[in-house]
Amino acid sequence: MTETTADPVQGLLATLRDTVMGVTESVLATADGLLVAADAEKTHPESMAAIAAATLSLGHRLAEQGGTGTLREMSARCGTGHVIVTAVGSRALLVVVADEGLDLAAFRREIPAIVEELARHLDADVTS
Amino acid sequence: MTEPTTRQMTGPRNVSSLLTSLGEQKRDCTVLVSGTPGGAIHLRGGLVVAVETPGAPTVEGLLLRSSRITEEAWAAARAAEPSYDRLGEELTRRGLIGTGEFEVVCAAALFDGAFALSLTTPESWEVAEATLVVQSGRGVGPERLIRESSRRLGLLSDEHGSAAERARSRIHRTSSAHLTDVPRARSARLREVLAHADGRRTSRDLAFALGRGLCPVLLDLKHLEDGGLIERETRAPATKRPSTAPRSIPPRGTAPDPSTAGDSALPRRVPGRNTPHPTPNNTPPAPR
Repeated sequence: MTETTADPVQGLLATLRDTVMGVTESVLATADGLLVAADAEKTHPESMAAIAAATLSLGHRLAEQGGTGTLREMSARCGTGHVIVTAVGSRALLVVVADEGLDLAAFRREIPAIVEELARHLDADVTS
Repeated sequence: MTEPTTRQMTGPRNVSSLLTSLGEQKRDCTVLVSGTPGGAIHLRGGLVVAVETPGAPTVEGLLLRSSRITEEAWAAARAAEPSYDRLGEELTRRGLIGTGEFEVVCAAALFDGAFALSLTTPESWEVAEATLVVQSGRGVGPERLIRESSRRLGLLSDEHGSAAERARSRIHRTSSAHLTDVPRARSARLREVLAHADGRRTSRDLAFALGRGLCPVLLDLKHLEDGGLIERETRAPATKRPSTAPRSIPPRGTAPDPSTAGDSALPRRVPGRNTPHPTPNNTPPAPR
């Protein structure tokens, strides 16, 4: 991605909305719940960041209690949509809000690459 | 059915001809189409009874989003009737919807789903065993479905763009389209479409948000676009984000490192405020 005035992380979040049908909003936050970037209109990104951090941490405990291996994502399937929380490296997380028509196949296909790309950008914070 | 899953490698050239041949064989099966979006075409006795795709709302989406049936009522019906195939009967038995209305909604979702699938070229497809789906029991012959999808594609294509282009692009209101002065001679339905055209949503997103079919929403959008009230557009510019480097409090008395301070300082939560607030690195973190 070329360096322009637009933040590449913000671009990645918008790309997710473009490539996966059904994704309406996304929020990138630190693992302790502080907002990093958001591609959101209806949700309150700060609140989402805080709740998602708590959710992910509970998810790790659940996975541990269940003896079901490493947590991949926390997913809330609701009446008219989904909220999915995925870890981005060890210090950040991604929240994706989608409608009930979410293209899950595309989501599962695209999300590992997007998460890796996000993690790469966030890792740059440490070395710079 | 001799084989539960048949990979169509040397068979029909496209999904349309596959459906036609499955129709002739009077098959009970599900055609799984992969693509962006993919979908599932459900056949019973060679007739198409439902099409599910992320590209268009399903019967459930149409009924719940429009508040025609409440989520509680839907959940109760689901609990009483575990089979999706017979859920319609349960909904009518409970008086939540009339048989005729349910059939109309199912048919609308069926034609709309087929239209949404016809907007893109599928990558591949396979014929799998029949799976359960919400349906009214009334099927549509593949030929009629294909004919109707082509008619809709034609209806939505003109010199300003094809149906596929219209479906892909994000919609926003033009500067002249203020919600307050538009209503003259505009129906409540068009006003609602206009109110949801915020520049973030594609026509497909609008259909889901409104609990309406993709094709009727596209027709409304075409009408609004012809009237100069909406535009199809590209994405909005982005802003700078804060850093996510590990946070550590420098030893007391140490001046903050200028290379890590400033713009890239981590956001800190401040009691009584709802937004993270960058603070100098030498202050202790706010209590959480």
